[in-house]
Amino acid sequence: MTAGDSILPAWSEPFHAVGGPGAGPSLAFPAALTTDWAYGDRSGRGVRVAVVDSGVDAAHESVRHVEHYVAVDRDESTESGIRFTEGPHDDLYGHGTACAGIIRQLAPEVELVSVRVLGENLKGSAGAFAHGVEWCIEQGVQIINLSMSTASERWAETFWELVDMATYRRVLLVSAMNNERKRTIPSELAGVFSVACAPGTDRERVWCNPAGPAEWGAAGIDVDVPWLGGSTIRTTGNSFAAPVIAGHLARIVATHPGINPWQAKTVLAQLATNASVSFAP
Amino acid sequence: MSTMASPGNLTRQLAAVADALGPVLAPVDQRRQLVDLCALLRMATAAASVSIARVDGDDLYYEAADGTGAANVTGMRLASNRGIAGYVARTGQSLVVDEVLADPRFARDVAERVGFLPTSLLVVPVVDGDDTVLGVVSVLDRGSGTGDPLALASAAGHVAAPLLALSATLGRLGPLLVRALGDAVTAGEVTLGPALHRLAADLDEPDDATLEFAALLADVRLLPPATRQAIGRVVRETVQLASPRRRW
Repeated sequence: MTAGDSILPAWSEPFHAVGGPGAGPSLAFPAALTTDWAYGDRSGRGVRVAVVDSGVDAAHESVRHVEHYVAVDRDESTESGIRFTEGPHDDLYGHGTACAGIIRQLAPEVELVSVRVLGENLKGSAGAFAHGVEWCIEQGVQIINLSMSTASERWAETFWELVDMATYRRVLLVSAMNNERKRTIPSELAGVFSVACAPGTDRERVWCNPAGPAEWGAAGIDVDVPWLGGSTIRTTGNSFAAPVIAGHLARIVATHPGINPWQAKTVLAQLATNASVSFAP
Repeated sequence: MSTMASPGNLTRQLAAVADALGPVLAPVDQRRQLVDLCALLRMATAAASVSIARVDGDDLYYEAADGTGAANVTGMRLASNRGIAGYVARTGQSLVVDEVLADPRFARDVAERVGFLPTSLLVVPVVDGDDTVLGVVSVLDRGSGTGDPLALASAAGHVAAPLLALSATLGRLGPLLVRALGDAVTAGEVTLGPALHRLAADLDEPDDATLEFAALLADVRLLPPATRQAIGRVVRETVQLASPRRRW
């Protein structure tokens, strides 16, 4: 038996509607903003990109190496209730390796940081998630890929603070929308690069949907991603579109060090497939 | 005829009571309903197999299944620290995999579990109102069904949520009873009779403030869902404010 028709994750609909998400918010610059100006050599050289997820398998040929690891676990014996363990760790599920591999494909010379927030215990993931993001901001990570989110309103205030903190420290937060039609944090916050699935599997293409809440679109339907044990699987989800945006941003940050989130959004919107009013899908 | 039971008999009787307590007290046959829900979802998605697992500690306990391998899946217990269903239970994020054969570890796990090798897998979380994951719904080898399979599975998850919550509560009743009895005996009682009497005497009578709060909660049940949720948020915030702890 074969798999059924392709699945369209929630929040991806605007990118697949007739006419797509409409014209992107492009500016009439006096000279065209080119991909060479924006991306430079497309290497992402030296940019620290964190994958806050299930861990990353550095041995996978699509990842090759991970520069820094930290595991964030719940630990009631500590004052904060959280324990940080630095040093190499495994990917528990494969999801983090998938995100890291996609980023590496688009920006091969980034410095990957694996922030594992899924530990041995089932409980406390949202707390570890928030502490993992805070750790990234404090460590000077420049781009944080969050292919997970929470629907619990208890975390709203915490993530508002974290997103604002990231914004003013020039940290770019990339956050996947949930695959189901429910509002989630931090992906629904305007300060992040919220991502859903656009048409096709070409990771060089990005879309901008200024109406939100999924502001950015990228390949994430029926895409091949690295997984556990050196394997590759074909999968669908907003989780796999977010690292595409993170990879594009890594190129931009490497070429324009110190760029802040709203500047990066302006540049990325100019490069979007639908930046031109003449765009037609 | 003696009314005294031997310790061995008593243990066996207690175990039987503990096992039977949950199912006897169940207002509905929630397992039957979960199986029916699996069957409905399987038909709607034209899938080979559908299962519903409940989070039990750090494990996933498969409460119900329909389709190929259903008999093997039902009653299975798997650790949640691995696998695609484990990822969904751990994160509350759904996952769609269309070519799982490329992952040899996954293929072996699933083959052992359901007795066949699926090509595709769609797993959605079952969550309560506070986004706590209660379980997962898995759709194996979906076909061309009647609608968006992700939305259908998600809707099935919404229906499954109160059933899984009920199942978890009922499952705790028997062990709770036995543990209470065990504690009483460990505390130095030589026979269970006096221990139970002492246990009953030690149970705290609720104070007036608690009784008044319980009466208010009974009134809250009559209000519309959105209002109930708003009241729940206010109460939760108030409890958090009254219990100073770390921010998160």
